[in-house]
Amino acid sequence: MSLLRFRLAYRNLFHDRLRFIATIVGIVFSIVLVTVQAGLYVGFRRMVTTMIDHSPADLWIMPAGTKCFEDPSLLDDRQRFRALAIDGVVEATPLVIGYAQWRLPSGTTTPVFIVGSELQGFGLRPWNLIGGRVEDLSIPAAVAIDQSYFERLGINATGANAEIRDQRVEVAAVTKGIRSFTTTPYVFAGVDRARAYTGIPANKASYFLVRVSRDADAGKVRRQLRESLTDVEVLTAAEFRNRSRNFWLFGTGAGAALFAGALLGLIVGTVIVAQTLYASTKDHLSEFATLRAIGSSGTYIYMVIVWQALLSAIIGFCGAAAISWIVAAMTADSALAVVVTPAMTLALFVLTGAMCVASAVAAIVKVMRIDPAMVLAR
Amino acid sequence: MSEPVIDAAGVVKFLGHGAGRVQALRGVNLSLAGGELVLLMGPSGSGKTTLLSIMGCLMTPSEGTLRVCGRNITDLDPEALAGIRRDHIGFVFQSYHLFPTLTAEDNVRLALDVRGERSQRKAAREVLAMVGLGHKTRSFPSELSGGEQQRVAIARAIVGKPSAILADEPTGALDTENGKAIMTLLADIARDPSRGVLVVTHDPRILPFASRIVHIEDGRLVREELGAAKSVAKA
Repeated sequence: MSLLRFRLAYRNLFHDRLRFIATIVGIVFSIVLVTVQAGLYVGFRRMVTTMIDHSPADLWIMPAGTKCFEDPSLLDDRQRFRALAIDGVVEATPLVIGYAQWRLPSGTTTPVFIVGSELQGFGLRPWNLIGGRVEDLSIPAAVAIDQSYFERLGINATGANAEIRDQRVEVAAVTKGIRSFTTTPYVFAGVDRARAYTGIPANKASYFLVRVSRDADAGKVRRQLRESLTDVEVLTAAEFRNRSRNFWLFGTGAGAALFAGALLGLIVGTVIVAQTLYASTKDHLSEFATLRAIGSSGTYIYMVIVWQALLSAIIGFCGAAAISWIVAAMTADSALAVVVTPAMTLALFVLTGAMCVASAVAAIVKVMRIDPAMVLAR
Repeated sequence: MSEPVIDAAGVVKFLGHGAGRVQALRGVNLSLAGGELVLLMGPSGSGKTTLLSIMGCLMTPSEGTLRVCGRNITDLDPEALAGIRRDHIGFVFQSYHLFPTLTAEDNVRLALDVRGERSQRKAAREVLAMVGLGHKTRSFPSELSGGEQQRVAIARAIVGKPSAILADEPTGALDTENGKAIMTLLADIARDPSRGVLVVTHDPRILPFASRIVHIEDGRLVREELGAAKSVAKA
């Protein structure tokens, strides 16, 4: 690579500092916008499947037509017994979910989302405990909540009391970072308590979590479950995860909004960089014509412009990445975190470079039309 | 005299389109040989710059042929023409056309860089020393006088050792003293029998440096005369 070409590029770029700063601000704004949208998307993806991600189930048995984890319909316990009768099914434990009203000691109520599962053995139990133990949930009326909802639920420590469906509950365990994207607090309890809090009959459940024997063929077990059970669906964790994501991201329009925001950021960034490069190229047109007159190839000149674009991209991206990481840190404990991963950062770097190079097209087209004889006319 | 480094034969050039189309050159024959400094003189609008553009491969003729170092370049595409300029022609412009953001040395290096040549720094410094600017290699154009800037432009034109140097009003923006210094440099370059120098000018002060003077009017060469430097060039 020619260092002189690079030097010409960066000096052209820095020559007009005000314009350069405007370009960098534009790129930073654009990339931060894209990062935030992409980060929200990733955070959203994680959040809508957090329960599925933390479940040990190989297979999920659910009522036919279930759209996502939070879609409460009921299965009959007989289905569970049929499932257990199939070779290869080691366990099929009930999981109960549902909305309920949490009554604060002050008398006011707030909706909560109950998650009830077997507390010993195979089940969906709370994780990231920072207070109490899972075993503590075995005592009567014990529940676990996330510390981020303390204020909403009128709780300040383990041992605090409230009511759900006119039944006393005691916070026996506290988790950290188990937040619901619907903003309705999760309340973990044993499966029987969960039935009591949601009004679900004792012979009903929302899901059956299936553990398949290590020796068994999971695909075959799944086929047999589908044949044996009626009005249910049997999904792997990955399939259920995808279904939940598709429902929340695309079925509700939330994903489209995030994509639209990211796309807007990209368009704004591309236009800003394109405008700057075009103006810069126009300012230096006689220099490019001189280069052409002294015999430079078209590629040589295009590379000067592309270097200008890439330099803008690198500098702009560094600023944007720093701001994005700060945003990610600030929102880590919020209802909807902006999640910035190293892979996403790398992808955004490539995207920024591509955006800036694409922005160079207008400038390159301008240079392609340059008449080297113009240097003689001046 | 050496073989022509540039040879234009029967060159016709139309400029513009439609109603605005004009014939700038009407069958021009002109050759530039190594070891000579040719002045191309004529009034404004006579076709001087158009002829210089064609002889410098910045334009192609509408009719006629142009040979550079024996190669017919009449039908070459713009990229191939750039290659011919890169390898055989150096330009000196009236307004210098230096890159304001690069030092004198880097401006000269550019001519080598576009050729993909290495060891540019040493060559650039040698040529700058040759034109008397060895002490200003790190100066930017804005820090140089007009005469110094034109010397940098000459250094850029000759650093690639081209066969022809084409100069467009090289003294047009300079005072007498600087103009004389620049023409002395160009005349020195033309002493090399492998290089020819073609200068387009209005400036009568540079007549003493010419080995040949060609007059153009209305797109035709109307008169040619030997210059005062003829004997020097031959020597």
